[in-house]
Amino acid sequence: MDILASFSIFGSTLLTLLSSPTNLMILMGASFCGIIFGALPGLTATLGVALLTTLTYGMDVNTALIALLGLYVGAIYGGSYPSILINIPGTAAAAATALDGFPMAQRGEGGRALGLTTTASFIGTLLGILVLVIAAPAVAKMALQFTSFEFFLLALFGILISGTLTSPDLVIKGWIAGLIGLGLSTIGRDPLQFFPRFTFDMPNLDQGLEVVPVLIGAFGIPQVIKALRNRESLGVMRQFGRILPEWKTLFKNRMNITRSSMIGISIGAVPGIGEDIAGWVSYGAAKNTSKHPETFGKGEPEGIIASETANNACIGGALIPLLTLGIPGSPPAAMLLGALMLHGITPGPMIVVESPNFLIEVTAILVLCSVAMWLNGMFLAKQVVKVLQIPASIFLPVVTLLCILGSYALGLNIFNLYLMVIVGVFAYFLDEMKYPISPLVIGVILGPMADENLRRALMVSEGSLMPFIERPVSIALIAVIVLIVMTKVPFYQRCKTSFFQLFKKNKD
Amino acid sequence: MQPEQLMALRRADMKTALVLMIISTLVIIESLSFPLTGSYAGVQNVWYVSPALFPIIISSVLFICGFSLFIKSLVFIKNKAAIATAKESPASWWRFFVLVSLIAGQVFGFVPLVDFALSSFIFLFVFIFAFYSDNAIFQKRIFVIWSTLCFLLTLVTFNANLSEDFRLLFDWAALVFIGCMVALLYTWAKKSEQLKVWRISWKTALIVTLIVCPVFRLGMLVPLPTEGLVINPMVDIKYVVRDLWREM
Repeated sequence: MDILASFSIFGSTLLTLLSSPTNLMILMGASFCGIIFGALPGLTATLGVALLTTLTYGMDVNTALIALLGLYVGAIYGGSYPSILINIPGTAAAAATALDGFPMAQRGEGGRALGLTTTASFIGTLLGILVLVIAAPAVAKMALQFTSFEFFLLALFGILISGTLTSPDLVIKGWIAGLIGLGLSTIGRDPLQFFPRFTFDMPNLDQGLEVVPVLIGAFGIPQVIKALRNRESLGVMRQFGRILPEWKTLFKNRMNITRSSMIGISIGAVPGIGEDIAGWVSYGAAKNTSKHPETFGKGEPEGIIASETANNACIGGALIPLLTLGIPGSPPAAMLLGALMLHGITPGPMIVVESPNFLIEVTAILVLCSVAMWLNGMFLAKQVVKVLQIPASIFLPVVTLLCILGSYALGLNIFNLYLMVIVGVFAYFLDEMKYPISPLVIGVILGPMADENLRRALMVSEGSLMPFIERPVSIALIAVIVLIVMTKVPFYQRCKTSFFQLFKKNKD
Repeated sequence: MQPEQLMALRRADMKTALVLMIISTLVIIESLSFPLTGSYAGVQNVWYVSPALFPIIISSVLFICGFSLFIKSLVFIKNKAAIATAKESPASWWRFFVLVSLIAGQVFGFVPLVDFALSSFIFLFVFIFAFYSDNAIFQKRIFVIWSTLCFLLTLVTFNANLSEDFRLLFDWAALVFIGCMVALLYTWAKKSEQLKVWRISWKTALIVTLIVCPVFRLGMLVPLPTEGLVINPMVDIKYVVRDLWREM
């Protein structure tokens, strides 16, 4: 498809979407709800997307995507509100924003800080979209050459890297979480021979575990239990003045914005890790390259611009592997994958063949979502802050009820509710013991893909493992996987240290 | 993390690792019963096509990870035996039990048996009151009442095949229960001068129920888990209004 044709589809999609008042209302509403979800500590973009998926079931694909992406973009940005105003990050993605945002609010510059984060998030999202448009077709084209060997390794790589980078304690806990997810995905009839595995003669388990109740249980229930058990409450809200975009400061930070966007996009594109890591890495890079690093942490606008640009740029990055390989780049993207599947769209390399316009349509929707986020951020910030004052003990029971309805509404099966509760309590204990939840969920989602492709690959090679090391992409993936595992094994680290000491001694 | 908390975490890790090793062993044993060779459903099996292959690989790696975690935590505990272990306060555990009983009770007890509008209202009312009042005594009392009732309802759900007319009796019983709880919590709130909490709890529960149920059932046409005393008339009214509107 040439560039002119792409622009024409982009323009016509924008016009079609904008000409429908329903779409516009859904766009603004979803974006506003997203900001609230992101702003309320304890609620996340992933949970928001999970709950909204249920409501989009009856909509056409484009309208559903407007709602889901609008909420996703809004939620990532919304986390900056409590970070700046009360020094409690609404989402992990906005944790770095609190370092400089809150001191600015203390100085009476809350409005300025919010204006900068709103516009930085807007620019970050747009740059992410730009890279998505450029990179996605190329990645998809390359992925068309992939066979079962590569897809199996890709799924394994996604789970492994997600486990490695998201673990708050020992790395092995991240891997264990991923393996538990993979193990859970084997419940049900196997995809090749329909043999019932671990179903214990329960018909409800024949189809395997439904993704939506698992996601809602894993992300929603632990948040409710954790917040109410620990009596988490919001602090005193700082007053803020008018929110203005402040283009001059943003122009001065053009290098910072470009670098942060690139960091956000690159981190977003790595399967399983997302906005939270992007925010911190970008903040660190901005501090290291700043002419006055000593002002960081004391209300430096550069800091909040860096973290907010990166975490929103991550969205475009996370959609690259999601749309082209069917592998989610971040936890909310994992939920988005489930939602797309519900609407009959199977992301993966074939998407450019089956629906050549889909990528451009998603781009147009994302552009609209970022504009909606900016407008909501500029004009409705005071209303969001009012919602933030609702106590968690009133808000979270309502969220629990929505979790129950969300888990039930898709399959209309009460068994899904039992599943949600069991997974929720289990995920809560895992979370308490510092196991990351994202690898578990990604394991559940990618498990069937890994299982099926491994067996298909072995079927093609008649049981030989040689093709794994004969194909270039496959061997590259194996090398990365081995490297990831090796660098975390204590024996390897000891060998590395002794080798370098030996080298040093010889040099001396 | 404080050293005491880290010690508690490593002790928990050791127990988890043991559980993981046991479960992965059981999974391997169960997987070995899947067709590894021979034919199943007309398909000739070889090891690499077998449905057992993936679960065996996963559980073997999980066993190794569990073993590694066990050794890591054991070494830590032995090396730092002098450090005390942090413990969660009993009050925090109580809040956890109340939360789990409320959510699990609603899902296992109320939702399959009682009209969703009624069960939503009582769930939200009790849940909000228990945590908005932030009173440990109220929470414990609510835990006892809620768990007992939900346990009985769960027994009925799993052991009896009820006709719709008989199930409707549970809606009426739920209505009576709502009345009793509203009155009971009013007396508790009055004694502890927390009437504002009581008022906010029932108002929020009512407003949310009045919004959520019609939005899902009438707006999005999603059938609710159990429809009876409230939801059925609500749906009937919708169609009566629609017919009247069309006739006008």
